Amino acid sequence: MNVKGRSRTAMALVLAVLTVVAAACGGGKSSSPTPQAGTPGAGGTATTAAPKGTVKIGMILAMTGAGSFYGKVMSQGAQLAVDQINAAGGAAGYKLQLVIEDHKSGNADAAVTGARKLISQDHVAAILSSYSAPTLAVQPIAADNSMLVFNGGAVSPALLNKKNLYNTRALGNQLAPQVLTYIFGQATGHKLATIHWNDIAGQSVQQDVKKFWEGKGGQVVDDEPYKSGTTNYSAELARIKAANPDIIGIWSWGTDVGYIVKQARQLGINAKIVGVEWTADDAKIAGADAQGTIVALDTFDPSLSPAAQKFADAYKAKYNEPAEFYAANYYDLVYVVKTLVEQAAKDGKDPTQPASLTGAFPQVKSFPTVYGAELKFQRDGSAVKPSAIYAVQTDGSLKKLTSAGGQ
Amino acid sequence: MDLFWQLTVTGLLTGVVYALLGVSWGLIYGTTRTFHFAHGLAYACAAYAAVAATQHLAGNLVVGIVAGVLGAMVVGLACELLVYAPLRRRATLQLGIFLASLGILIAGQSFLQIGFGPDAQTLKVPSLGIQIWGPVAASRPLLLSSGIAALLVLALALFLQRTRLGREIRATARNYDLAELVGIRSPQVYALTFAIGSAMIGPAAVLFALDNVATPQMGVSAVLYAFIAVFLGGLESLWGAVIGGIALGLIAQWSSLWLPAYWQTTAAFALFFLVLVLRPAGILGRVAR
Repeated sequence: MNVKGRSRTAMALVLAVLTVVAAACGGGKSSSPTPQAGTPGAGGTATTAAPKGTVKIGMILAMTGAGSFYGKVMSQGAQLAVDQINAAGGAAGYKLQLVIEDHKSGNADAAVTGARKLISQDHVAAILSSYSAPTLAVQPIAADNSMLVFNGGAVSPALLNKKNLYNTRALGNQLAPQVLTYIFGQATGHKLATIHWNDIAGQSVQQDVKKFWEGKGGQVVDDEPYKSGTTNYSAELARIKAANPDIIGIWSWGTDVGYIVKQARQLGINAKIVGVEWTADDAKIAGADAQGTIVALDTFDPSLSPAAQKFADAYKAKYNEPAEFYAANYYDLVYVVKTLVEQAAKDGKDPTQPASLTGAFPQVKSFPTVYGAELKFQRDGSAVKPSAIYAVQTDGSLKKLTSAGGQ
Repeated sequence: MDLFWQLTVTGLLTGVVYALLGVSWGLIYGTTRTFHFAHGLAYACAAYAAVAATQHLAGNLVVGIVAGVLGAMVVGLACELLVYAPLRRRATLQLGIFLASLGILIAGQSFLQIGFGPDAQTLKVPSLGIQIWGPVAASRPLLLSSGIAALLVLALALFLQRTRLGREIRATARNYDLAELVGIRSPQVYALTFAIGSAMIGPAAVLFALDNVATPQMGVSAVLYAFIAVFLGGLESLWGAVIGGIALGLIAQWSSLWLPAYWQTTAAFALFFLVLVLRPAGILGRVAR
């Protein structure tokens, strides 16, 4: 083979590798889960009339990266709702379909790329988003396109009062004071050290917490912001240990919480640990070290209503894992979109168009929910959600200590 | 002062592990001039092999570590035999091989994610607990990892100095063509280098997974620390990577004495940058004339 031929071969190989790299990491994970054969809703068995069309719902979730747990349960919850709705004949005769984009656990750039694709190529009618930074990046684009964005995962107070953005998750600045109020009454010492995401979600909670804690007469002795997705907290925790707090507050989400709890105990820190998040992944990571950690969370309780129980049973049957509140939030949000589709159809509008759903939104006063009676949005774009204080048990499960807020 | 000692102990322990990562990566790079980014995949696969072995064979740490060593060795060897060697035979440029290596890492991570799911995996073996000396504490898996790393680096140094195979590796590193002329079978030496270099990181990966969890992405920071350690210390000798690794561990931790802790990566890279500017060949390296 001559030199030219060789370099061409090399070039071809490099191109091949680049293709692999691009396929593996570029553009996010894009998939359109359509009902599979054998799942409820497959094949449109229950439809009586021919479907009028398909209303696509875009989702921008953490499908890969440190928060892939969230992407998994949120998409599962939403898919279950879509399957149920389609099996029952759709929304006003329209089929629903999910189109999922990946924000790689909090990357706003990836979220914007995903949103543009959802809007211009997939022609979705509404977007369900998660994580604060990605949601805040997507909201202006959606608003420009008269499209609604629903968030059932992100917690920053900065998400409030944004055009076309509605949130069904209890926000961090609601949950953190709840858990701190609880621990203030329990703890003998009131020196608080905090560790949190160094982004809009963590910082906004931290600012509110500092005022709140000092207002109660407590003292904040150390504060350690860090980049979300970190796995090694030895330096942050060494500094916290040196500050000798009575309580450590974690204003972080994802697997970070599990790592922090575990590594704090590994450094021999005995302070009480409180937080605003606890997932199955955190339980796995922290193991027995998590015992006694106190967290405030949205409460999804299947015994709240028949609808909740029905959702929990169907979820367990389909995915063989218990439903938790993130899955419930996105299940609810698909039903919110369904209600809007029906309202738009009633108004004689085309519900596959984003503006039709946005136009229908003010007319619907309350939506169905698996969290008790009904879901109502406030003027600022938030929803009142039940929350509670939980203690983490030795096996990583949660034990409810007391109800904290909401209905 | 307590903070200083805690940071120093953590810095030293992690530094010795970085040194091992650096030495193993440096052995491969120094001998074969392959920018082996997929070393990170070997690291992750070691942890996943241990997860699988402890789940299906026996919930025993020794079983996990053996599986990890084998897992890493198989991945390292496969990279060399199936990808790098054929590319080298086709006279692919170093950049091409580097990109291939990056591709292996990313594709391999995706395969791990498909095979084991995106969730973090835990090692099903009894916890080793923590060690406390007065105001200073360290997790026992980290202590063990650090101890094994130190032993492995010493063993490798002896192997390279004292044995025939070790001398063949050094000879091939110095001059591939000349080594072939005197009868050393260089492709075999390359494969051996990949096998040894990869197997070495197995225990560190398994103990990291025991201390934390195994994730598909866990190898990326490991390989980054490895080559920072190598270039910090200098490519000339194994001890360069040892000094580079320990310096990296200590500086990253010590920076938290004065700066917020999230600056430690910045501090580590600032050190790296300074050394590269002031001593382009690394702390121990000599500039070629």
